[in-house]
Amino acid sequence: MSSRTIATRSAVIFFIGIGCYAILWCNLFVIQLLNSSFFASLGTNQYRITMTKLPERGPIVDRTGSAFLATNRSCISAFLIPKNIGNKSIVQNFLKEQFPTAASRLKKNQKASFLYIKRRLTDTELETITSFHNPDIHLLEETNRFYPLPSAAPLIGFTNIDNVGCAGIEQICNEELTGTPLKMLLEKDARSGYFYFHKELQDSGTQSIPIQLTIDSTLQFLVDEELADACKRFHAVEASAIILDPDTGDILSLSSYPYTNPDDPQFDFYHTKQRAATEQYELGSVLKVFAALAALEQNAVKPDELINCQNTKKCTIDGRPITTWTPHGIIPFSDVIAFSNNIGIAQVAKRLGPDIVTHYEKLGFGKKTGIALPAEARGFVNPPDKWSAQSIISLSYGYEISASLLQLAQAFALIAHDGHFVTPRLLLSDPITVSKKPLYRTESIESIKDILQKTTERGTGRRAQLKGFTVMSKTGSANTLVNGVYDHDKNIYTAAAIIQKGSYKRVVVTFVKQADVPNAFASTIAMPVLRRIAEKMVIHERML
Amino acid sequence: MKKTFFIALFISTHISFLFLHIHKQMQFIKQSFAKQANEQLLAKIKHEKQAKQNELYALQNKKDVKTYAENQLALKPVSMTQLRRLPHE
Repeated sequence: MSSRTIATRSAVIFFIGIGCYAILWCNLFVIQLLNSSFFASLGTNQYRITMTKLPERGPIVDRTGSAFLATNRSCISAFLIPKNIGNKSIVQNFLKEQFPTAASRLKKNQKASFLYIKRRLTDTELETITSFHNPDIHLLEETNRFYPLPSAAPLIGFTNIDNVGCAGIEQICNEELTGTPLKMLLEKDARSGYFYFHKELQDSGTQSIPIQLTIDSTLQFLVDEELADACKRFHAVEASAIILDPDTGDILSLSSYPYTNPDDPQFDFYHTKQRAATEQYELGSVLKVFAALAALEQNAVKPDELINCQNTKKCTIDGRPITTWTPHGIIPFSDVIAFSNNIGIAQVAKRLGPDIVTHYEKLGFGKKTGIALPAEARGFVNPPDKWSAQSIISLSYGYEISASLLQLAQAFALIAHDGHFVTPRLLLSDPITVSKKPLYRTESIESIKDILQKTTERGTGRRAQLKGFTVMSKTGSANTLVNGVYDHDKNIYTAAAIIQKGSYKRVVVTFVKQADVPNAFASTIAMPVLRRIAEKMVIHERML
Repeated sequence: MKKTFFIALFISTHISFLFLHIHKQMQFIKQSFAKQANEQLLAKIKHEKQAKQNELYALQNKKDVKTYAENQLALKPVSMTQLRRLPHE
């Protein structure tokens, strides 16, 4: 081979080498300089992972702090990664047989990165999935809520599948119960698995706050038992009751029956309603107490003033028809309330005129109490500018005014607390709100207390008598409005009482709706229920 | 001889420092992993404790306790007439 050939070949090899080297440098230039940020972020993304951890939802406890009303428990959910499924037909057939809705979802989302088969699997469903032994079906552990006291369910509410509060305390206190997530930056490589090399806190988040209620869980259970029994005995549609401490406004029990257990997968949404605070209705004669209080405050009547009740069940006042449950002749005003005579109270209310509305509003009717429950009923008091000639008569015995059972308890708490306005509270962290000055004169309050005591001793509240206790009570039976017309067969029976012994005071209110009992009155339906609740309450609170 | 010895010592010291540094890092990672493993174990135990607690709450269901007391122990609810407060001495 000539020296020229060798030189040519060497030159070719040299230039090929130089060319390869140039290509290498060009690539390096592109990777290191032009696309440096892209490749750097790609590396960082593989190396650094942001982990978000939501704190466990806070528990809800009763006033003792030891009885849990809502807590967490773990559950298993099953999911698929549709785009990575090996043998689609096997999975599809299994789902079609066991989880038809998941099968149809999988059909629509063949290339999805994640698909739940079912969340919160039952034991049977979990067994079915584990026995199937398919690597494409994955299991995921999640937490869901657990409610140890089902009777408190309408009050506590429930959460949805993502643990977001949807009703009751769970909804109102959702932010406190949830907290905010903790964010951490983890440095790890492909082989480190669950472990990391370095941890950096990005956001410490906030811990969930446990919620303590004023509810006494045992009392709640005892009241619920009585309501269930009342609904069964009287074939009633529903019943509700509240026990309130008039000194602090603490609600010790707030029950509704029937209720539904949120832990039951087939729970009935209708029975998740908290009726005592969210339903308003015309209270009937129980409101005579407040018409009487207003009249006493305005000096429109004296407790011993004789009122002519016309000894009839039906009469007309100013041309307006008025009926009462039994005839009474000329009786003292205190007996008008004790025996619940509509004709007598209507005559006294006429002396008050539109002022009766001012008094009702002062007692908290027609406005929300502000309790920590969603959808609280505002109630309604017919304003004087919308009155008919009948209005003042109707308002005196609890019609043309609608209120919730909670508002009734609040108004009775005012009498029990010597005229001071007490705001009911459900959260122990809320401040006790009692008006500094009494809204009513001491004489008016004392007079109405005497009248209510008489009602228990010899009036419509006789069934509320409790040996060793001073009981001030009143009942009310009201027709319900069905499509704008009063249905005389569908009544609401209400009873309210103040139970007192020394410094111990409790307000107990209850209603029973649509009892299927002939010739029923609140004194025969709601009052015995109230008495039994009161008896259990004083035994539980060791006040004998 | 002295110079050679010094160079050898210098290099070997550096190598041993390097080795110690790597060993320290390895130990650190090992301890970190052990800590993380313990954290995971703690989380698992806490989780089991929560499950047991929930089981306990479920068993403390007042309705079930009452049914048990009435059916198994033949207890009956008391009424006010059956109770009397005894005066203190």
